[in-house]
Amino acid sequence: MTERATVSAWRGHYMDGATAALYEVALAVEAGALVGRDVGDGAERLRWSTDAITSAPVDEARTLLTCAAAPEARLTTSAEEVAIYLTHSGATLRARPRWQALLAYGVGAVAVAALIYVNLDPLARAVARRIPPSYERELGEGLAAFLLKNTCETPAARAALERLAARLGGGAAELHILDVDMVNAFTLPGGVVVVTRGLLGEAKTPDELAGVLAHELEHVKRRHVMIHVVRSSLLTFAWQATLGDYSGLFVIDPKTAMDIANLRFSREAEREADAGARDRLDAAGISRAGFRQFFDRMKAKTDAVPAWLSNHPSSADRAGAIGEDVGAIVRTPALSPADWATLRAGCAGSAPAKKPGSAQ
Amino acid sequence: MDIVERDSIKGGGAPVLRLAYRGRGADLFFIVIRNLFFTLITLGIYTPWARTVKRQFLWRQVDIDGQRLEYTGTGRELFMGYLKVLAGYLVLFTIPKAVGHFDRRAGGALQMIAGVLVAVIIPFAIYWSRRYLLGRTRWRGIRFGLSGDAGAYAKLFLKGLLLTIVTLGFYAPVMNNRLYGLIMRNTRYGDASFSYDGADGEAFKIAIKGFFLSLLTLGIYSFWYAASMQRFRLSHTRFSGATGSIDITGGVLLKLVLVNLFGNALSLGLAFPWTTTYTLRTILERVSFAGPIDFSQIAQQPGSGDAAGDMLAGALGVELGL
Repeated sequence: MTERATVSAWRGHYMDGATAALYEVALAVEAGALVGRDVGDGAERLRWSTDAITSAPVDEARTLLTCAAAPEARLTTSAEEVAIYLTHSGATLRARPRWQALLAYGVGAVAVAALIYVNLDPLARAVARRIPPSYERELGEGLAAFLLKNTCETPAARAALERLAARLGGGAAELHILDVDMVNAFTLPGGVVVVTRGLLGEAKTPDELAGVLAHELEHVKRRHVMIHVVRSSLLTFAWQATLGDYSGLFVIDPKTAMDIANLRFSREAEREADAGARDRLDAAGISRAGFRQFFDRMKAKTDAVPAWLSNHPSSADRAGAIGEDVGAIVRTPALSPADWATLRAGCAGSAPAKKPGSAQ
Repeated sequence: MDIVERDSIKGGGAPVLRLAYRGRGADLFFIVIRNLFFTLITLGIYTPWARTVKRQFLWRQVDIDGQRLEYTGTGRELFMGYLKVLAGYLVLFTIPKAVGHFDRRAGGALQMIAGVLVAVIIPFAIYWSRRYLLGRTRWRGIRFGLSGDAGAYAKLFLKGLLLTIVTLGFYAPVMNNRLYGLIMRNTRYGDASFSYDGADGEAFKIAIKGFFLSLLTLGIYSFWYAASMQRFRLSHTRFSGATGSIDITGGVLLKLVLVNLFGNALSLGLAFPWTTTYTLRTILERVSFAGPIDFSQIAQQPGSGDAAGDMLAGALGVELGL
């Protein structure tokens, strides 16, 4: 097998494409044609014009030849001899992958992936800005309908909340008080801002509530919810389109990877909203101290998770970023004592009945 | 003169057709990285071509009796198939949504119909995908193919699924045996068909034994069960005068699974070209067909199969993993 082949010993396996029979043929180039004669009976099996032959590698040693004039037929033979007698075809499989090319493709792939990731935020922001709020509203309809079944607002309490929002510069489509113990405030698609009964109870002064509300109003103004939706969709699309074929092989499941990739945006959005809230407080003539105190108090409860794994910056960082009251601004309480009392009374009555595990 | 015939002359026994996988992990790794690069810079549009390049490589590494398989599908037809699937998807999901705008109830009903349609289409997609892949596979220049009707497969599939649920899973081995048999009987090489005569009752016995012994051994026996089911199937798969066999044991499968699991986990998935190679090598080198086959009597048949079926199976997650 390994000895140097001569013309008379150039052999190949010929399959005519009509049946599955395999013919062992002796090959030779005669008058511009590759001719194959059956080793058994000497019959001419093929006569291919050398111009019409194309080759593809089989392995290190063998080449597969086809001919345009007989597209179904196949001939396998030694790659070495093809290189000698049919030099024009030239194609031989490299024995090893081209490491330089491999490195270039690998580095290129990582670079493109990084480029996409870096441009994801600006792209998501640009797309989100072009989506009409009415569509966003529709998107959040189901979620809002589900959540807002459980509100505990008297018309007077809601009016007080709306007055506070207006003083802070406004911008929300709707404001609601949700009847849950959890201390939280959030924004739904379509500019619906929700504060919880738990938050109203936790806030010691109307200034503390004002800071949180200003923060949510900034989320609405900057369309963070929509940007987040667009960004996640783009990320999912990019992942599916490029790595979808291999997703089964990843140890980290795509959902987790996606969540981690989304956290960075969340933290950034929170920082933006904090900065905007600070400006709103200044513009409305409300002290920043309430907002800061609120974070100081939450610090002890929430900072168990490291900042990079959280969707919010740490409470300590946030309190620091809000800073002290500066400038010659006349600052007054966010709500009159009467409004503050009305707002807190709006949900007070329902609190005991909604305890989890209650017999009712 | 055929290698098969020479074998028989030398050995004196029945001629044996052996399978093998000759690829190297490093070559597959190169293809995957190259594909990844082009897929990324084209934002995914390259996917059908990437799939084709990978298949061309994998097919070419499969050696049957000295001649390799050849994959003749193209990225272009796969891309057209993708567009068809996309169009179908848009029709199926945007129409109910649009109708829902005007009439919520009608929209909901249409959405439900679309959901049922997607579920029903799964067996069709499996069959169409198989037909496309076999129709693009050649060995010795002769095309493989899948004849028969996807509807018959779908009927067997959906009926089987229903009976499996009703019998709390006990029908599953019978269903699987029948589905495998239907596929094999419709699988052609040139104008010659494969055949399958594995009895449902025997498959059921193997499954019951496998089930209870797996329970008793906390799942360890399941590898031996899988191996015996594979041996049973192959030994009843015939082509022309030859009968298949797979020389596999539970130990081999257990080792295969462990090596792949640890290899992929320790490398965070990067070792998969090597684990894929290891898997294909391990399985294929154990498959053979023994018995006379007159290859000069097997004639070429025209190709069949639509790439849309393959893309659909991919979209539904029921592809063969190629």
